[in-house]
Amino acid sequence: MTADLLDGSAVGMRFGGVHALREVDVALQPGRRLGLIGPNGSGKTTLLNVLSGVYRATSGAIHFRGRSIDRLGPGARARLGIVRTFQHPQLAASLTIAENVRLGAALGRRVHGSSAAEETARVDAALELFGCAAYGEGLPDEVPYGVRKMAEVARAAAVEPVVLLLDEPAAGLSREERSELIEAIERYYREHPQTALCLVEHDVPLVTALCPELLVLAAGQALASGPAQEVVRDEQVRVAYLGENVELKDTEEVG
Amino acid sequence: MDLFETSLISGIVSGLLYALAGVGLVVIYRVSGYVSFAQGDIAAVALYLGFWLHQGGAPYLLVAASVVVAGAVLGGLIGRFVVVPMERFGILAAAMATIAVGITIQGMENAFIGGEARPFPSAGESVALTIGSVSLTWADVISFLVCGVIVAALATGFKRTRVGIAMRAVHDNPSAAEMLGVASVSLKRMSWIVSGALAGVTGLFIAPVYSLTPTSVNAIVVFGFAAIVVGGFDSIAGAVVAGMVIGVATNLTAAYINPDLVTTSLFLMLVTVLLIRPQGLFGRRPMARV
Amino acid sequence: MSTTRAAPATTNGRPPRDERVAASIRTGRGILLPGRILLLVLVAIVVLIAGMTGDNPLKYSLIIGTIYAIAILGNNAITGTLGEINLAAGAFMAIGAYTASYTLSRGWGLATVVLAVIVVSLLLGLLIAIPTVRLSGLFTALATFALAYAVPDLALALSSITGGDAGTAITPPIIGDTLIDGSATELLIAVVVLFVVLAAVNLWLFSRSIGSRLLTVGEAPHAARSFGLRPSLLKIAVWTWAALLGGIAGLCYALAVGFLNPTVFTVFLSISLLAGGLVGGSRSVVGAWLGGLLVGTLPPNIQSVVPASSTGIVFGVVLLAALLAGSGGLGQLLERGTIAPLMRRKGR
Repeated sequence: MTADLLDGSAVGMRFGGVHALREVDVALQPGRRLGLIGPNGSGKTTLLNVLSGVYRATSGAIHFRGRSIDRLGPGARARLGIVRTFQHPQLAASLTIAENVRLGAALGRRVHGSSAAEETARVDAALELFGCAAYGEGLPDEVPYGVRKMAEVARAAAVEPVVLLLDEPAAGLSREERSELIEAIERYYREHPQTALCLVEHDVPLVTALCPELLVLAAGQALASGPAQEVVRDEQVRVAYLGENVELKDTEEVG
Repeated sequence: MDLFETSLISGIVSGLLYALAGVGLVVIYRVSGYVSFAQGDIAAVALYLGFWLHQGGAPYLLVAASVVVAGAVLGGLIGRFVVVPMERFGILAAAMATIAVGITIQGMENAFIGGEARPFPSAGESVALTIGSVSLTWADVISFLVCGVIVAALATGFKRTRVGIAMRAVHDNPSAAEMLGVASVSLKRMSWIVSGALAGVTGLFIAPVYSLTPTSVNAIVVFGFAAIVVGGFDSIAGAVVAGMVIGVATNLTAAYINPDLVTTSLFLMLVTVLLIRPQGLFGRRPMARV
Repeated sequence: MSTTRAAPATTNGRPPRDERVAASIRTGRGILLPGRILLLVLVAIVVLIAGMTGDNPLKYSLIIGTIYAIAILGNNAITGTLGEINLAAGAFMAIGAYTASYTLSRGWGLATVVLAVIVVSLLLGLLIAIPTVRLSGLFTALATFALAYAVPDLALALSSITGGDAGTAITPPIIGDTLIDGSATELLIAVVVLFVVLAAVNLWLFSRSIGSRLLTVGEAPHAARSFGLRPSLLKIAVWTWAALLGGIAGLCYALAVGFLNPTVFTVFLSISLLAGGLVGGSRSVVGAWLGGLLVGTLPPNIQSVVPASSTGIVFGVVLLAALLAGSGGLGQLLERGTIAPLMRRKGR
């Protein structure tokens, strides 16, 4: 058993009287790829926000490499190498796609202490890998939505993060673009097998293609977790999330 | 002690006036998410009309009614034709458009009417009652009562009427308001009419005290901004309490420190509240979304 | 769309260079940097020639206009990168102007006066910036509006420095044999050179990585926080830069007009500066200059038609027009007409 990189234990998040998360345990080891699924409002994005430091958990504890990071904000966690994407691309409108991706590479330079030349190399590699190279000089509102989504992931990949948190990277993408996304992430993994990944996604086939393990959230609680194929066959999961008669292979998008 | 008593009581009286000025701003903020910097200028135009009516011998009640109606009409026109259309460039653009309208009006007043101070009739100068060592005129008492009634009526209106609820909904979620059967654009226009009328009412109580110039009402609207920021944009009761706190605090500043530091103390209060409690003393904390 | 397979040469099928030029016009950064500096120098030459050959009122207008342009340049950093509204640009000018008048009246030499203005502007700018950057949007506008409203009264309250209601005369510094005041050609040259240098620094920084970090903070705040930038520090830096430029403008203003009265630094001045910035285009340095000239030359020149206090009409209409026209402003129009075609041709 490898030591945990990012470990959230009994994480809870309350907004006023609403429990968005209750006692959720999540642990990421190097190379582990965890898919996070669940119906809308089940707390997936909240968990990502808590892990990345956007929200401070109201209960429970989060550790990174054995050290408590509960009190660290998103910037400080990013500098440790915990990097996230946003469901709606958060790209600066006045910066080209390449310049936006460079923000990630610049963070990577601080995380890894690497050189300026490596920063440029990381930008180019990430643009190439996620199919944005031809659009590098374009401004975000001039390129197709799919490119913006890809650039959002490319920016995080350009960090070469220790922990990568992806928030619905495939939302709004066409079937073709989804397979390009899967392929790009797979290729990224072959080059960086030690990266710990947490993927929030509605598209179950996409999640199972990328993540050997799943965590299912419902109403802010962990409903099931374990190897992907077992979890998707779990009766409880099917009832709570997928609807009883859904054939998984055909699930284009749920929720 | 007299100085203290005067500061306290006149602070409370003018505090309610600040709250009224603030509530006029809240009406637009509730619907559209920005404030109008042109409130004082709308009031000034309406007041000039009232001033001429008064010169022509019109009775006070007619003067007062004309000012309120003129404020509503002017507010409605500005909202309908200038500011609401500007919202498509964002709420900050709309807020800046109100600044543009305001300085245009001021410039026109200076050009065509002149900037000199003019006396404006008051609701009554004789002493109505005496509290301790402080004498309040009928104008003070009427101002206090009218402000109180309007603020209370608006507070209930926001909570209980269909339009009031729709106003809140438009700000939070435009499509929800449509479902209540109230089109958001007509709500926005309506908010401008209401807030123009409120500007007129506020002006009626300010102009007799500070005399009528192109900027005299504007100077009080700043206190209205402070009242709603300190009280919280979504709490009318908060604006009343905050208005009174500001009225007393600025009176005490003027009496015991230096009258020229009143606006500085206003700025400091506003920034302090924004930093410590951004939602205002009585506001709800907004939920952050990512 | 296809992202990995045979993608088009560029986003819009245009040659890459044209695309860079187009992006550069829209963003105010990038490939047009040399062209922009050239344009800046050309405008400087025109202003200098006009000021040195024209009559004294024209020279004075150009001096005042260029001084406002310096303040606008600083204020544009706030509008153009952070997207916030500062309604207290006049307050920054007041800080510089009164620091200059006070130190000059104490008989300080010009060099120490300049140093004092820089230090005081930075310190007070920092003091204002630290709380202000925690606000955003409408609340920034409201807080700075309240500050702008307080400045003339505060100046009255500090009568030992400002002379109160009566105002205070500036002791003009003497360099060599010349008295530096609003009729001195030396002052015209000084403010033009100052503007060109500050504008060039501004352009250069904006094109560097600090520029892209600032734009990320302003345009993608969530990403900025989640990618390890320090938004508060960067915002404080921008506001302090605006305060510094405002303070320098205030110093030059004090020298040019020779007399300071608290009623100069009203909220109307701040609104005019904001309007001037928007009209010129908040990302354009030449635009800032045009905006400054508008703010500086308009009031004295329409005085024969309407009272000076009526300039609100012009600024109000100009501000509305600028809001309707979008963020590019006159500066962008000028770039489209001059340097952009030049750069495209050069690329072929």
